[in-house]
Amino acid sequence: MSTLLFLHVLVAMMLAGALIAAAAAAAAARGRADERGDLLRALVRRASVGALVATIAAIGLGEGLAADENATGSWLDASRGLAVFGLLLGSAFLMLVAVLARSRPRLRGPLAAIALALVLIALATAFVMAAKPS
Amino acid sequence: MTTTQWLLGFHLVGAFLFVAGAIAVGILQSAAVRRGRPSEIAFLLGLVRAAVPVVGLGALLALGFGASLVHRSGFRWDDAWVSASLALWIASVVLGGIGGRSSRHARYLAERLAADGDRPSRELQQALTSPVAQALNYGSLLAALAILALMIWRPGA
Repeated sequence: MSTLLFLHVLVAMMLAGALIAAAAAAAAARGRADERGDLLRALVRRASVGALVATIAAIGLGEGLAADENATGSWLDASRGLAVFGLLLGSAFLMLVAVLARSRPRLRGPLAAIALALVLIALATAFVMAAKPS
Repeated sequence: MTTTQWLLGFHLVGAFLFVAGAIAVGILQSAAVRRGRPSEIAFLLGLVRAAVPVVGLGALLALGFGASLVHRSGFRWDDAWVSASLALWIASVVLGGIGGRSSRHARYLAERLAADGDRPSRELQQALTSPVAQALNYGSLLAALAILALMIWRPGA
């Protein structure tokens, strides 16, 4: 159980790290149409792929942990909702927008806002899982 | 929700900001190492400065809320896992701070080289991949991960 919990938290921290890097790069790329803007958006794309992979791993480890502990409660449902509808779909959306922004400049604007929103969702998920409000 | 639940929630948010911020710094630094032109390296290393306050804020939140939890939850500062966590927190912050200075010096060098022709430089690559700086940065991250392990397994509790 403890090993699963350690890996679950570790992967979730890697997910949040990838999202923070994506948010920092996307914020610095705002309004830049030059070579450095392209460099930063390439970094956002790579970080968003990492975030998506880490989200899938964190959800898998979390489900394994929940099954192992027979965990139930509204906090678990809330954190599942945040993880699946916020982080999983959000990371996929961030990756999609980052890829499409290569050919559609008007999509470059929202990248930073999406990445920052995902960082906040990741922190909210961590809060719910630690505090377990029920 | 009880006060302890609030404290635990914010303690973990702080720990997330601490470790995730350090991982973000590592991602941005490794992106800089892969570039050749000093101007690009200086630009990416400048971006690291945005992630550093996240690490500092997380370290302080984790420590502050963790100290409150020790006070409220009946744990003692001389419990082995608590005192080891505190020692590792200090080690992580100190190692990260010293490692960060090496990164800052590499950025200054990259800025100088960018203004002086912007040609790839072996000296800059050596500064970026310095084994001492890497050992300090990895040591800082490993100390933070060791704290996470202590929090989960709580040996001796």
